[in-house]
Amino acid sequence: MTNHWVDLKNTDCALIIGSNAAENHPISFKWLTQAREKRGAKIINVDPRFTRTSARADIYAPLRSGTDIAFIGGMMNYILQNKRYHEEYVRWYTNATFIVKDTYGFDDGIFSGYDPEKRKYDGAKWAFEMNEDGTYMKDMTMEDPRCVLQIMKKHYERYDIELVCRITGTPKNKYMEVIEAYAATGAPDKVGTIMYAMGTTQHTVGTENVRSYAILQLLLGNIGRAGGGVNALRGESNVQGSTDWALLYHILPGYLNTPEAKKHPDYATYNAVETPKTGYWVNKPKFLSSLLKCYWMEDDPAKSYDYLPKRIDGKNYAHIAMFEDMYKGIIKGMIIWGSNPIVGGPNANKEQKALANLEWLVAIDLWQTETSEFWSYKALERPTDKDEYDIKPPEEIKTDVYFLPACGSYEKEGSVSNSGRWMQFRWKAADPVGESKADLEIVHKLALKIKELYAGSSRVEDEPITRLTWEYGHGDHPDIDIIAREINGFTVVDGKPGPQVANFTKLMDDGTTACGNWIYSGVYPADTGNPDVDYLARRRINTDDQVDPNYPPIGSYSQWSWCWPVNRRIIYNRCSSTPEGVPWDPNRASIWWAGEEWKGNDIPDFGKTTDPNGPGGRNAFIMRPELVGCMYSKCNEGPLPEHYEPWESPIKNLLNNQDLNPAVTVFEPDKQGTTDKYPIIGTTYRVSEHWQSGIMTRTQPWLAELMPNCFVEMSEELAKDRDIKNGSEVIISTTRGDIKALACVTKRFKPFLIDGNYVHQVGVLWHFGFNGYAPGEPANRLTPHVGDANTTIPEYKAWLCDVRRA
Amino acid sequence: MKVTRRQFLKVTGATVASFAVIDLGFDMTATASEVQGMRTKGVKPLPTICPFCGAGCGLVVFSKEGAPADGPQLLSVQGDPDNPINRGGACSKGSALMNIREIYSPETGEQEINPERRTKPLFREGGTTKWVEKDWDWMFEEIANRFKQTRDEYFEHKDENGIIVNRCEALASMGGAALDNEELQLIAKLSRALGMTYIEHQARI
Repeated sequence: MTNHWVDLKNTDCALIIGSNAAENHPISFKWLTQAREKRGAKIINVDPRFTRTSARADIYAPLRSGTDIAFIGGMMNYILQNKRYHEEYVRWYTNATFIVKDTYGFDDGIFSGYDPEKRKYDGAKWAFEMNEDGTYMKDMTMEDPRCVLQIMKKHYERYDIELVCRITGTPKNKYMEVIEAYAATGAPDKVGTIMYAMGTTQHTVGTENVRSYAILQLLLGNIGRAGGGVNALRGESNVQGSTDWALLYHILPGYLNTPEAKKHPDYATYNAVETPKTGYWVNKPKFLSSLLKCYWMEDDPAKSYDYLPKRIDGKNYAHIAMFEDMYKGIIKGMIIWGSNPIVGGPNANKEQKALANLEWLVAIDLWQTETSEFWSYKALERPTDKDEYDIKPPEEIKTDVYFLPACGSYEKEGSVSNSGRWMQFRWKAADPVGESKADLEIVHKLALKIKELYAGSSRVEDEPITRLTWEYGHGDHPDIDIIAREINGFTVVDGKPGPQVANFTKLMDDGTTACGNWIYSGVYPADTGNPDVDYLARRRINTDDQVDPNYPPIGSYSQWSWCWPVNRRIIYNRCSSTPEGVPWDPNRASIWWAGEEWKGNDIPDFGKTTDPNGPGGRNAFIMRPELVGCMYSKCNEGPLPEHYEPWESPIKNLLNNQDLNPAVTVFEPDKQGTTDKYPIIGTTYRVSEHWQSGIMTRTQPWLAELMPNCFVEMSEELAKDRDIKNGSEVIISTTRGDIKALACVTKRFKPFLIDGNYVHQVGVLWHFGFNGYAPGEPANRLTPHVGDANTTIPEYKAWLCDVRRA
Repeated sequence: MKVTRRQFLKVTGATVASFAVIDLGFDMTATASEVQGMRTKGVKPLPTICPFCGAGCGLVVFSKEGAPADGPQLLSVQGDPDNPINRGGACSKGSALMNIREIYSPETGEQEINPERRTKPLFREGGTTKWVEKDWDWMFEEIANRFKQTRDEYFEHKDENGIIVNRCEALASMGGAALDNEELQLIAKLSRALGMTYIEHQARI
């Protein structure tokens, strides 16, 4: 989230799209309801199904799964054509004024620079014109036909209301209601928020879906302001933290790219290639140097850089690709820290089979996950004869499996970072059950044991382990205070931890500082000897103080816990004020220019003493090399979002002749379902009573009783057509597999009128597996191994299936 | 860092008077002293954050002081009225959070440790159909050796171009979005030191 949960109370209009917030993030409605009651805010919900969120919305508009860009593109077209955008904001805080080189082009769904063989673009074709002094060429009137605003106008003029509604299946009157209500937030003193979740991201165009929201928000002047933002409602208690800590193939902690062999062969080259010339990322070498010092404190960063693993250039290691490689036998051993891919992973049958190719597997969890028992007879059961991946019985699966019992969240101490980037501490409130242990102790003892095994080695290839700094106190359980200090960072004195640094502005690129994650630097800034005071994640002061009589507080709660970066609650908050530094709305003022410095209800995301009327005074997006919000930018499939159909779609693309996103990798061409056999659109979703793959909730009697069965929700029309009764058993079928579930026949799904024909959509709960009090079949045995062109997030939310009576 | 309840109260007391008074909005100790034998006597309230979705709602775990480590310890888990995010509210999952440790037995109605929790390390040997209980020492020894064997067999110090790559593509790590930040710090460090390139978790899917 650019903003945070409490800030939802500040909005004038919430556009909830790709999220069922009322069901899956219920607390959001505490604040949205307050916005409605106190500000008269409107709540809009756009979703294929009439959900609990729709029931609490002022406007509900249905759209077919996978058509967000058409939907948002049509909104942008209307806003651009009718000049409903926030003109001053757009002029100063976005790249609308930038001139694009004439090598940019777009023709029938393909941007310039496309190589159809490789399914890749040369993004250099989309570059900006530069002035001789190295600055960007701009037209502040935004009238030049090659400025970004005009290029966008031209690009989206094809997205007219009629065509959009033929694609999305949204009734025209509902679509117009949404556009009018949301375009109203383009007024300078109005603010709208976009709330989204996996309904947005889990598509072959997932990244561009999110980007279309970001562009819409920039056009309307809604980013960096209280009550605004682009807000991802994250589904796991610390998925924010685990992303920040980069348990991901493509980044290191703090969003530094992982090195690739040819591109970044050594330390100097990495810094040269990765460090931009403008924007705050010019400090990147300091963050990398400090990270390397944190990992290998006694070595010079130029040397310890070599210890970092280097990827094969351009190779995809993302979840789907990883399981494809496991399926091929490339991966021999895996450790799983609380994850359940044979329920939660896409194409779960294939992922289950892939696990059988491992020599060994370590699974760490509170519960017996289905994944930890992928080799069992239970895992073999299927409702029909369909067996696309030749699943084997236990006797034929050679994988050795080690299961380690982890303790629960309140049986240990530590912090988690929520969706709004607040890092909140949890105190240990009970003892671990049985012999279960905190993951902290497990990783610690494992690391010590591995270091012990390598202790006698003088081989250069073992140096990443033998030289690794691993000093976390005595005894089995590591000292969490030492870890917290390391996260914040400190000065290195004689190869040992010295005084804490105040925050990341004090980090150095010469090996004199160490820091485990630069964006969290500032969370442990002082050393009074009392960790309860020094570790700011532990703070519990819940007042929202007024700092200026002219500007009421906005719900920052700045002394409650701590949030990254540097306790800033709303990022890009320079945009909350006019170019001259006056809040757009004094009742929702984030920061303001007080003559000599910026003051505010929040920490300025800007130079504290940078005069708004002086040099750089309007460079509101300091993390971007362009120093402005980028509506036109570089993604793998182009500089502007364009509508493409899902990999499995019931219709041809009506906007251009490219059905599938041209930059997407297709892993299993032979598994693409077509409408002759699979005419129904399928999607997956969640309910409030269960969580993710369900192993945390199917194991709890109260929750299991509340929601005991896997069901597939469908319209009355489809049920009638297939002679399916509510509550009866049905088989859902795709090219990947079949599952059995109960039919849930409701008015909440309606057939979509798509380009003159009715198309049905169904939704399956994905919480179920064979263990726990409430077993059921995993919906992900149906979903495909195809993902987004930038992130490879799986296309869980739009695929083709058929449904029949069991 | 182990913090006793006394230390904890002393510390939070220095800044916000006391956890019981300010943080919970009511003075639990005073009530307990006045009403002898009330259920709140000897109750230890500690704040936590819900482990389910990314909202970060605050909850308070009420446990019995001095309850044996190997048995039920909890009275309840309820919304934390002081947390600005939820102000005491909790959804169905948050309200049931006590169940991840303890449940009421369907047979006897007695409070017991949730029988679905796994309490011992288990090993399944390839080709067999059953788990076998093992002790932690055996597990750490075995797993560390598996890591070493696989790493040593498949490790690439330099690639075909002579570039130092220090990677092992035969190893993979998955998870986890429910870990604590301090745990992530150590896992991130160890995974990279082992040369892993296949490092993925729920944020990707």
